[in-house]
Amino acid sequence: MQTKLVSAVVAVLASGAFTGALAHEGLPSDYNFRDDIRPIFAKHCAGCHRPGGAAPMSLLSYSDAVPWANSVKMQVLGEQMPPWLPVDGVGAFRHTRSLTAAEIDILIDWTIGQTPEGEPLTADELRELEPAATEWAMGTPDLVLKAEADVLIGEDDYELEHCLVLPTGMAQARVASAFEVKPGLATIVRRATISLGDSCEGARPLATWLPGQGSVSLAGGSGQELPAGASVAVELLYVKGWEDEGKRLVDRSELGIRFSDSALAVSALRLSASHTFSESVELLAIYPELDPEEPLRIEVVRPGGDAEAILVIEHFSRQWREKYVLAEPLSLPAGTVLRLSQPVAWIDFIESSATTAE
Amino acid sequence: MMSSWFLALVLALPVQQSDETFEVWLCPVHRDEQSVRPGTCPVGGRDLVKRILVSSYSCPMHQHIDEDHEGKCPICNMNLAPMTRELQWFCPDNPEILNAEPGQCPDGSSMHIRSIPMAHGDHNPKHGGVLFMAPNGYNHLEGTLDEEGTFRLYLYNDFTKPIDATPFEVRIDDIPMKPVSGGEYLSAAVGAPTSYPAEHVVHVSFPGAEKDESRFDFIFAESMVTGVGAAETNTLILPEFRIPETADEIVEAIMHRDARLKELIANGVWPDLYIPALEAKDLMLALNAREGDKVSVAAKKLIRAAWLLDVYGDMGNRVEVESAYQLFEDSIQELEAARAN
Ligand code: HEC
Ligand SMILES: [Zn+2]
Repeated sequence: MQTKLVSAVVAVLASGAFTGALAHEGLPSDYNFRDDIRPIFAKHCAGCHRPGGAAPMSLLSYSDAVPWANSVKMQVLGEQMPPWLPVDGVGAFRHTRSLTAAEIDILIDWTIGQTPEGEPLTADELRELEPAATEWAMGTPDLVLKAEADVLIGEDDYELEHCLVLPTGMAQARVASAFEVKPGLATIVRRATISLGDSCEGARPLATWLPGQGSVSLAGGSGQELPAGASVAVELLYVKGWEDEGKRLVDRSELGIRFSDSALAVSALRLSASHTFSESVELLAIYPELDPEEPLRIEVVRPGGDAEAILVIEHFSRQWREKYVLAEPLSLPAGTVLRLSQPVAWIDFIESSATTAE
Repeated sequence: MMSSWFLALVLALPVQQSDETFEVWLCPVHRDEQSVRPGTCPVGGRDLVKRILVSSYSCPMHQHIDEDHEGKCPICNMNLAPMTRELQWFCPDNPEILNAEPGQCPDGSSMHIRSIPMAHGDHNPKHGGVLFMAPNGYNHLEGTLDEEGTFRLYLYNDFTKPIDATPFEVRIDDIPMKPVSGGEYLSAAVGAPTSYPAEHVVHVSFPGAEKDESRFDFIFAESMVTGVGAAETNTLILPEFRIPETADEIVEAIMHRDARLKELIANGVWPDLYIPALEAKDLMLALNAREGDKVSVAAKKLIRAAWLLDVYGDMGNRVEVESAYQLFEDSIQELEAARAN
């Protein structure tokens, strides 16, 4: 094809040819990068979209962000970004990654309105964006587990799931109140699912960790009991960004654990249809184990009450499979039925008698 | 600023090789106003500024992709499309210094060069027809229909300047369209309209690295069907937009915009959808600020729907317009349910 970008055909546009189709002229947005956009990116996107982060590009400097404006527009309007699967308005969870109506509006207005920069960031401000030394968000962990060998992500691997089995070497049982993963190669570690035992298959999930999440804990001062001599299985999901395609990469991620002697150990159940609680419980977390094609709807029916949805996911994505930790424990009286539209989900809970005994 | 002027300010640039640069004077605000010589912007009176442009191939989603030939995007695999970019000179250590021409940095070194995509936004029809932007973000297309049933399709570049229509393979309702006047436009006989709005589905295959076909739905109300050159001027006078006092009045105003959207969609005036859609969005933001959490789920949906109607309204694909409107309708239902409680 001969592309003549600016054709020599001179437009003969004599009349004021103009009809009902009144088009807008793409005037510059009132919002600018420094004052309006960067704070939103810093708050909701920087966990992944920063130099050296899990996402393929940083959004923190103007020159980094602007080329992605169209993509940001479509990803935000399509709700693919920020990645957060539960539908709005049902349940309240920790680590929620979603934007408010006003934030969406500001972002889209800017991407459509010629992406004004505002006052440029100074050289000092830009330097602050350099990847920080990787520290544990939880402070110094009580226990750090690390694989004996590197995980290899070969030239031909684009996406890889790898199961690390890490013996704790613990002489006695303890309650873990927080987990954190420190990625070896942060650009490709997209998810870690931490389970109890020596297999990643069907094992009891203790926690999931996603980039930018820092330390992960349960609500209500509770924790996960690790028995003496236990092993922890960590399933790592690696995804290469387009810049890493065809490269041979290695990772050696670490798992940090905090223990608490006062935390209550949760019980866990694997549910495949519905479950009736014979005791009253405090529900703490939900982990949908599969990625079904159909929407997932989990609801509770209290004795004599109406069904109340507590988690609804319309579209699953394997990459963003995670454990949903309730912002506040949900009290369910004895006789409450928990129903799910799709198998299988795990729940964490504590019996109410355990809390009142405190 | 929504005025109904249309200015035939012609960008009479020589045909460019893809790696050559060319100079142009632009209005700093209305960047579609371009001239080959210095002057003032006919709209706002601002002095035009000189810019050096270059043409290259880029991805509609990833505008930093900058190639000198056709191909595919290494990030998302989409076909690259031609694009006009603006050259900028900068100093890596002094980001506040930006030039439209080469120069020196404070430390005496030469300034670095980069190219940035140019914003475009002139979506005004040139032949009294219906104008859409292609998903590749570069091509613009305008369809006209006359009483005898001749459908004409004009093709434009990213600044809505005419381009040679010959390389485009186009079908209208499965009838192949043929180039006329050396590629000034494509034409096909689709039959004189028997009822209104007259509706035609156009499939365009864009030249590029790989077959890349898009759908455009051209819908003509009776007033839009004309003889060539007889385009009527229709100045749309917009009532002044304001946010009413009470929540109930705001909701009523949103419903009003909803009714208008329905009407525009049915009549195929999709490029205008953004007007009621974005007004409804501003009303909804005001309501959300007033009523808080109660309406925030509905608000979020409506904000997305409104912007999607703006984006897809320009692109003329019925499937996309209808799915965006569906989201709008869902949000209205949620708003009503939330306020009923
Ligand atoms: C939890 C991590 C995470 C957060 C938070 C996040 N992103 Fe992303 N984003 C990613 C990853 C990972 C990808 C790459 C997707 C892939 O490979 O499938 C991505 C891709 C994108 C893309 C698409 C890039 C392309 O290929 O065109 C855009 C745009 C984007 N993100 C914008 C945002 C914005 C805007 C926010 C904040 C409002 C955000 N993201 C928050 C992880 C994240
Ligand atoms: Zn691309």
